[in-house]
Amino acid sequence: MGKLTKEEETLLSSYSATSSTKGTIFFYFNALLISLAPLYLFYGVHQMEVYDSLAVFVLSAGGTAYLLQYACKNQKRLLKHQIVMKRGPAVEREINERYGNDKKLTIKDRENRALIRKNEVADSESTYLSIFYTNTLFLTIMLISAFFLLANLAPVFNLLISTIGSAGLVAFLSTAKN
Amino acid sequence: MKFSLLILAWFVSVDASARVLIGKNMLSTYPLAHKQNVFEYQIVNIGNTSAINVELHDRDSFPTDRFEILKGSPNTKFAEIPPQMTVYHHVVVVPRNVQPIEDKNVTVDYTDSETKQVSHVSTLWYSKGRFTHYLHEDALKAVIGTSSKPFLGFAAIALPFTALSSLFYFRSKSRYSVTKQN
Repeated sequence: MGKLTKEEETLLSSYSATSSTKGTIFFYFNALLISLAPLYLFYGVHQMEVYDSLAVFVLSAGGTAYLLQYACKNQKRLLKHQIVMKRGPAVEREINERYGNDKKLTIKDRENRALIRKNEVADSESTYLSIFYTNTLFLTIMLISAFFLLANLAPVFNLLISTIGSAGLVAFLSTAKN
Repeated sequence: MKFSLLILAWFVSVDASARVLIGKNMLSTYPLAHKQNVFEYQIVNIGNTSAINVELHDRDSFPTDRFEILKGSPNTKFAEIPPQMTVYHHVVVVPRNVQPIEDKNVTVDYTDSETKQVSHVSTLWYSKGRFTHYLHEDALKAVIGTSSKPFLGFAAIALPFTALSSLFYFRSKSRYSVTKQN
């Protein structure tokens, strides 16, 4: 099997289920940040001291961060294909406007540039949208469960169930096929 | 720390078989003016026969110029309290002002079902000279109030990344949207 060209690699990456290293780090950073927010809330509202509750905090942050980055990755994969289809014509128009008068570029080169650009746009948009969607869903479920559904529970159990449970639910919803 | 006021008194009668104890307990965590304060009366018959015509009197503790009584009455009657049984009575009041109010004597009159002897029980020994200070909510804000600080901190951590993501998405979407033409 011959070596893939750059264009072929770009085309393959647009359909790839795996996220790039940069994207994975981005998702992990976001997930870690979002998982720390409920800890500060519980620290302030329920007076959970950091030293006393360190093990619970670490467990909550670790579990939540892992589940959230997993949900973000899944969500991105679902969204990327839809966004590639939607943004295709606009990206092609932009490429044609920019390189339309460039006689040095062949039609094939222009198509390749459009393909690369479509992939870039879809990748960034799907990343942003997956983060926004996952964060919003997680924070909403977490706040409702922590302050309404589990309000009478002991703070330790309230924290663990509301954070890891909400992140687990978001991760589960992200595994939908469509 | 839960504020608890327990008033307990008993009347010992050599001849009567029914023996009643009375307890008054504030269920609300803190005594607050302009807020609902819940009081629970606990009447226990530790005797061997029933106490009948049991009358609870605590009207003096809640004068209407100082309290609004929302639910229950400080004066109530129970037809019978069987031996070794407890009955509960609740009163919900709203103090009209921030003020210390003296705890008055709670009394219970009852009749022994067998000997028909009328007995009287009171909390005078415990409540005499005691005051309940009904405080303004602001005075306890540091203790009982939910500060907005944790929620602001939570928002400061969680929202920027989420809001920026949506901002970048909608900016890109508006840039690459195809306008439908008729």
